[in-house]
Amino acid sequence: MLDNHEKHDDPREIGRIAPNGGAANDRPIAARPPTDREVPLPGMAAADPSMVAIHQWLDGDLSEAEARRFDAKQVDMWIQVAGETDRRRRMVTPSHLTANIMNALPEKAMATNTAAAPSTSVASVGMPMTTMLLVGAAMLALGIIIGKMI
Amino acid sequence: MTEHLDAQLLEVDSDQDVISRVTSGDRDAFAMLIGRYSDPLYRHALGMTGSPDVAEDILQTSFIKAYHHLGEVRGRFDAWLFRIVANGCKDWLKNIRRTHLSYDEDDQASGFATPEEELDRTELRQDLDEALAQLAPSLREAFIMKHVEGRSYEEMADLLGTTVGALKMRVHRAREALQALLEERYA
Repeated sequence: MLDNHEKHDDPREIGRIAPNGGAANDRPIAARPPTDREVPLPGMAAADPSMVAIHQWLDGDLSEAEARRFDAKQVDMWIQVAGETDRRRRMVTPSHLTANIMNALPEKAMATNTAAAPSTSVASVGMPMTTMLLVGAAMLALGIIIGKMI
Repeated sequence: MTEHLDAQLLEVDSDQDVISRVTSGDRDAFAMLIGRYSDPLYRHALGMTGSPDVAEDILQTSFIKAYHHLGEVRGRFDAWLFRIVANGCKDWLKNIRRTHLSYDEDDQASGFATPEEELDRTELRQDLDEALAQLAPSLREAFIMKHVEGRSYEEMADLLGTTVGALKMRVHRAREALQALLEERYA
């Protein structure tokens, strides 16, 4: 009953198939984790026709009436369980979750070409044109004054 | 059947279109992917962890992780995203010693007529949660996918990358374990 779970934080592991998934099927049966062995539990389903009938009914391969002939009490129990699982199937994501996720994303869009060469335009410096002219004029005047002093 | 396949192909194309928009800089387009897949993934995380708060955390972390790695998607986005969430659930289960059980935030309207029936429903809900918590994660995952999410064995095999036979066996083992845990009270 122990599963081989591994850490999934490695970026190279994002969205990978779990260890007890596809790759496990390449191994010999004896080497696979117990959950992947397609054998019945000892002394259970294979020897219990009522359990087999319940499985067939729950898998849609047998009618409820036929399953009841084997074990009506178990059928009733699974109908109650189905009522609860149906309720859970109707559950929806809390409304605030989408906003939470979007707020947690970085503000800058994940453009792939963000490493473009730095722009030299005036706008990118963030200084208005008038300020640039004033600074230029001041530097010119300062240059003239220094020139006269020399 | 053909219409179904066509619809699936359109869906895949549609996801790819959205992904292209996001990777081109349209950050807000990512909300479309969240809206498209959050409900079934939330139900999966809720079924696996038994806790609405933990399910929310796993979903949020998974979507953020997906956003940062969106350029690495190969093949079906929904299957890729499902595996991120499923792995997140398994990591959480691995780290938690005792499963926190709570469905208190359920605001679905009750379909039961009497207080007695309502009480029975609450008891069954708690008992089912406790029984599910005793299953091995792979059996719980298979049962949740089959009976809560209503997926076919073929779809489950596609998402989990294993065989239909192996998944049938997991679901059967999960049912047998649940039946053993619940039958004394409910059968």
